[in-house]
Amino acid sequence: MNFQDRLNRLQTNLQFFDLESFFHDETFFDILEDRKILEENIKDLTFGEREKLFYIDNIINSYYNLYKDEKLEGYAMMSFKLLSEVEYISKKSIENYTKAA
Amino acid sequence: MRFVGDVYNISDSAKTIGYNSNMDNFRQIENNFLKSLDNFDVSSKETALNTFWRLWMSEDKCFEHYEKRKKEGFITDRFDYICKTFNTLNSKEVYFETYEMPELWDRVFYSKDDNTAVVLAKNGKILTSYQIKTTIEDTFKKHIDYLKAKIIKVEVGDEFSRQIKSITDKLTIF
Repeated sequence: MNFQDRLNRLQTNLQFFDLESFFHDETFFDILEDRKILEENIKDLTFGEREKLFYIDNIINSYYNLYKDEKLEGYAMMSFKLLSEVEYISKKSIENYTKAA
Repeated sequence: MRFVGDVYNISDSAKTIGYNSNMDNFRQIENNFLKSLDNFDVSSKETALNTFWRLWMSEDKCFEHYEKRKKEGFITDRFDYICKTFNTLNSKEVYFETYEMPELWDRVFYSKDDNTAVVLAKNGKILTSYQIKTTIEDTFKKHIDYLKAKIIKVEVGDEFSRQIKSITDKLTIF
């Protein structure tokens, strides 16, 4: 799968992602995999692809904030842990984005 | 099937299973779902269609999942979704899943015949009902690898089994 296809799949999966099902939604693991591979290969992405990834990161972050806002504490903690594992947190992504740009 | 940790006997309710959960927690999900069933009216196909959402976290969630499953080609219409969900609940393969967060636990019903799963949250509401794209073993492996989940195979209570079978049978005559 090329980067563009992976970005498209990631975006579609996030669009239909169900906060409550969370990891019971099978697409969650595709999201993890896609995000991790894109992060690892950020230097090989085109400028347009990096822009799209940055946009996707904002969506991922808004999901995390939603968890916190809805006080789904257990799920928020778990999502934070998972997101951390693949460096989903925006600070890191922004750093990478800036370096690669 | 054996996953991580020990598999405890269903009758040994005093033992802790998974992370800080015991069979009382498991029964709590079952009892909560039975309470929700009081609001699901299966006196006709129409009432079933109109009240199915009450088994879910919310009406919107039920609708979102319906749309998603239709797009996937898993179901043909809303009634088909109800039937497939109850067929899965009627299956005899049930797993109890616990996580590092002690306040979280879920119950997964799996139908080997259709490779489908229904997940009930601890409040007894349906979290999701879907067709597994790979295998249940693969799905659980991901939960174990990523979430360090502890999963054990359990049995449903007689009352739960009786009520689900009764509804599943009713649905087939509509």
